[in-house]
Amino acid sequence: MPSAKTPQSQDGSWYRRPTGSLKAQALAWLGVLMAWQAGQWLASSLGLPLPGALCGMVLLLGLLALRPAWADRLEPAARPLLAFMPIFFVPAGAKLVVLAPRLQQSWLPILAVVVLSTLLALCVTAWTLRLVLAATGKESRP
Amino acid sequence: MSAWLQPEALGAAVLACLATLMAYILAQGLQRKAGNAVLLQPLLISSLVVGLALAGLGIGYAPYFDAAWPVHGLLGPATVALAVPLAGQLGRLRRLWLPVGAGLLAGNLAAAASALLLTRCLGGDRLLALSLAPKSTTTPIAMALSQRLGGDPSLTAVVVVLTGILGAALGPWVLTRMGVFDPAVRGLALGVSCHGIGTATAAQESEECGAWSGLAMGLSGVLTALLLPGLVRLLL
Repeated sequence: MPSAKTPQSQDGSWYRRPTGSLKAQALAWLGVLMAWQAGQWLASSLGLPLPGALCGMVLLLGLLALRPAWADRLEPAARPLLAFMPIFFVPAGAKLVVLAPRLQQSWLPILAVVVLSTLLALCVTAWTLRLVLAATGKESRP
Repeated sequence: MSAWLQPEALGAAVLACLATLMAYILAQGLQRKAGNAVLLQPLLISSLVVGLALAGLGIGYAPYFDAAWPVHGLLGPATVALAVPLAGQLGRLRRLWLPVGAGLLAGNLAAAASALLLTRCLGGDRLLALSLAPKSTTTPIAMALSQRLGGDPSLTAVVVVLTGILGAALGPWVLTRMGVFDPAVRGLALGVSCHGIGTATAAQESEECGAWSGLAMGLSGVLTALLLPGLVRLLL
């Protein structure tokens, strides 16, 4: 199943598969946009703690868990969106230069969080997994 | 809406998009030339290039950001699209949902709580703490969370990338020193602590490691989104 490959894999082959007909592409985009709008609407109307786009992701994930075949149909839109995603952050990231004085002023907490909190999260995840894997007597591979 | 159709606004949008795209392609080429160095994340380099170009040309940041709406407007749909590869990984959860769930819960709690506490202990203000708290989740989710909680999403974006770079550089070494060799545990730990950049590193170790990491990255975004508001109320 091709969608089982992570989009982050370095060879990028996940992105380069043919995208299909124009109709298939249009339907895929429509599906992703509808899930996004549904998420926005759900988050704002129910006052959920999740941001709208994340709510859309959870919604779509639930749908795909029920209908796994739809994942392949949404790929023509999902693949380019994920492949180009880093570019979508650049306008926000460009504020780095404007923020430079602020980064300089609070470099210590930022550096501490980036180093210590990240490594703590790494170790806690690994420790807990090991502990619970041992306690339940399960192996990560069947 | 009709304001965007004015020739001037349309021209500015095209220009801003082209400049953003060119900066990114340049940064990507630079990283490839340097043998895919983790430190040269294209996002970080292209952000610097765009920011410095704006400062050099005397263009304000806000007009650029407004003009580049077609670029950052796609963030929402891209976040939703994360569900598609994630759905393919859900099968991995079925047998191991308890250990994986416990690991993800503990890891996300540790990441968010320690970020909030460390910032406060080291004299950071509330805005900084809220901007740093979602730093271990993937950038679109982290930025949305930061905005929702009242942080600065741009500061969050920068810190998320720094977190990923550092985690990807040190994480595999730390895990090996801890004696963790199980690809599932390595992948999950990297996905929880350093999102997409960690997942790319995990995928270089093995496909299985990368798949677990991608799963951890997606679920961590949801978990942190659910945990953070409560943690903020408790700790700030």
